[in-house]
Amino acid sequence: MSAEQSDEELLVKGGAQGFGLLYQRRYPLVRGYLRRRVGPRPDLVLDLVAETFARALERREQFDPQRGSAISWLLGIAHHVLVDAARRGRVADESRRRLGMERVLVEDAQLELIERTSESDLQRALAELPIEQRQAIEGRVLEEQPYAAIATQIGRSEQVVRKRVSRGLAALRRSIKESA
Amino acid sequence: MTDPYSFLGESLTAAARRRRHNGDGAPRSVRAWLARRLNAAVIAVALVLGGGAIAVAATGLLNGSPVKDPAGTPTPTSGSGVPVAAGGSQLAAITADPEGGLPWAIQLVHTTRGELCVQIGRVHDGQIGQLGIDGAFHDDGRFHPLSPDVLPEYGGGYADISCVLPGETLMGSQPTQDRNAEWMVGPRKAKPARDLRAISFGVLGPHAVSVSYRTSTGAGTRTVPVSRGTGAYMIVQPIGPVVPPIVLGGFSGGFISGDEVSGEPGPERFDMVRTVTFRFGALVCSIGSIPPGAKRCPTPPPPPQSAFGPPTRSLHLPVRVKAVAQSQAKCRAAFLLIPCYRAEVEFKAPYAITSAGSEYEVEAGSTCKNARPSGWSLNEDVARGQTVRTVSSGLFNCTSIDEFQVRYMNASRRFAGSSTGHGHESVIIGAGFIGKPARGESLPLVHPVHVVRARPRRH
Repeated sequence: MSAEQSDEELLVKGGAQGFGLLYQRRYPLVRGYLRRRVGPRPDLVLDLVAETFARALERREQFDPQRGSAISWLLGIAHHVLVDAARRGRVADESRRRLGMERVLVEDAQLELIERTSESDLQRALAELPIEQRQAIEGRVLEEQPYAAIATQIGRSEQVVRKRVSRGLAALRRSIKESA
Repeated sequence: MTDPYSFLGESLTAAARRRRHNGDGAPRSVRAWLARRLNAAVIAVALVLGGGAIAVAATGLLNGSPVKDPAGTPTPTSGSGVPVAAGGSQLAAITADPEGGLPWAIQLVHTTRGELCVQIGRVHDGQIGQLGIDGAFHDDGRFHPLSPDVLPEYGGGYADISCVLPGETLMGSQPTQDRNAEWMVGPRKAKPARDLRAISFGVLGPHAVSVSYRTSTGAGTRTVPVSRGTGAYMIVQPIGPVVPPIVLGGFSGGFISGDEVSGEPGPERFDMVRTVTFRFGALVCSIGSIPPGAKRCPTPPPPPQSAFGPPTRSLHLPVRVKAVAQSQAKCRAAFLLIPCYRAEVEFKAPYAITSAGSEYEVEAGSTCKNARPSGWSLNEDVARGQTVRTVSSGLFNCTSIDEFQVRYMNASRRFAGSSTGHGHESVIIGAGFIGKPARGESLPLVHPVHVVRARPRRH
């Protein structure tokens, strides 16, 4: 199993080991996505991340690379899990139960440590990026601004912003993977 | 101290291995997809339509077999229920296809458990359905009606279907929808962008007036009225020349209480819809990207810190719990040490459950180091005063200090300001603790646990 395989290859052809690798590669981004939306609630974020990946595992055969990237698909699932949690007042765990997964129980002190570490990991990785890539990622991924709005802010074309986001995300992924 | 995210990764990998070992590689949706194709294969006459033929398909189009969902065995009293017997469905928001041919629409289905479910498809002779083109139904060129009882649950990251409770709103999008209107398919053949559509659809309630969306050509925004009475809308656009107008797709939701509107259109990468306009009496207001001079709709107060948390008030009612030893084969199949157990929980329901807006759930807490019991919900109707017995779907190993807390959860209470708000606040019913069971001892199961969202059944 090569770490150089794309997310899409890991998801479609990677088997159990490939899915584990995809999780290791992508959970920081999914966690960050959810954390931005629910705030400093590490217990809630852990629950949401767990159900997101369990649901992805259950439905991995539905993934269609033609419809978008694996990370887009994962974030779409995360979005659904979050909306569902807000509606029901609790994080669904149906997928985890169907898969027979154990519930992850952690202590408050451990959760606080994760919260501090994950935030600092992301901040550190972002800080290491060239400033133009950092601005593009913060605007697009974390603040969800349209490409056009970011382009206007920095006085560059949308195409340039897209390239910066793409390169910055690739660099972030390498950085977080190396520090793991 | 083990990092819980590492533990989670190991747990996921183990679950993936178990799925492979158990032959669960092809999930239900793919099996359904295969079954649909097998079903279509029995049609003797195949009309193979090329892309150009679709434009004239509105006339002389033959009906094929109905779209079926062999996986679903729903009941009127669990999950989303089944379509109500009379007047349970209606077509809304009929929209032309950019290429011509059969228009698109959404079908709204009212269910016995009080939900409004949304189907998308193409319309022929007043029916909604899917087309046998682009690889669907063996390219038989026929129209395959979609019955109101075929309600797929949403498929992961893709937008295809969802149900809402009264007072809730739903906005969905799919950036690369097959023009055959088929959903929840497995891996597909690559298709050119001209054979795909960018769609957005939703249900915004009776106060909605219009939606404004970004066009896929980048030419600006366009405003269209929504269906009167339901607030349903559907937008169908060709894929843009360079990139789709949306890249992700998904759902966003909210609710309306009085003249307060909760929720916004999704971020731009989720949805092409940018603004929704409502009318509440003399007040005309919008959510999303507010045009100059327009008013923003009032929003309800932000949810409290406990919005995602469990209820804290307890009724302290009795809850009985037993651990039932499972066979060695079941323990081994679940990769657990022997002995292993399931939990059986019994309580008397203080409140009735009559819709999908509320439910009882059991939350299991444990200090087991190995497999632990988990929580589960009883997504079904319950009479007030009924003795409820339910069993855990998960197995676990130790029985020393396991707490099983029964909760009553009511989503409808969030709409207390609207006419749909009803029922009691979410509350803890009580808690029971497990004891060492007698081997083979078991309570009779009168209410199997439904962990899979049930789907309506054909009448």
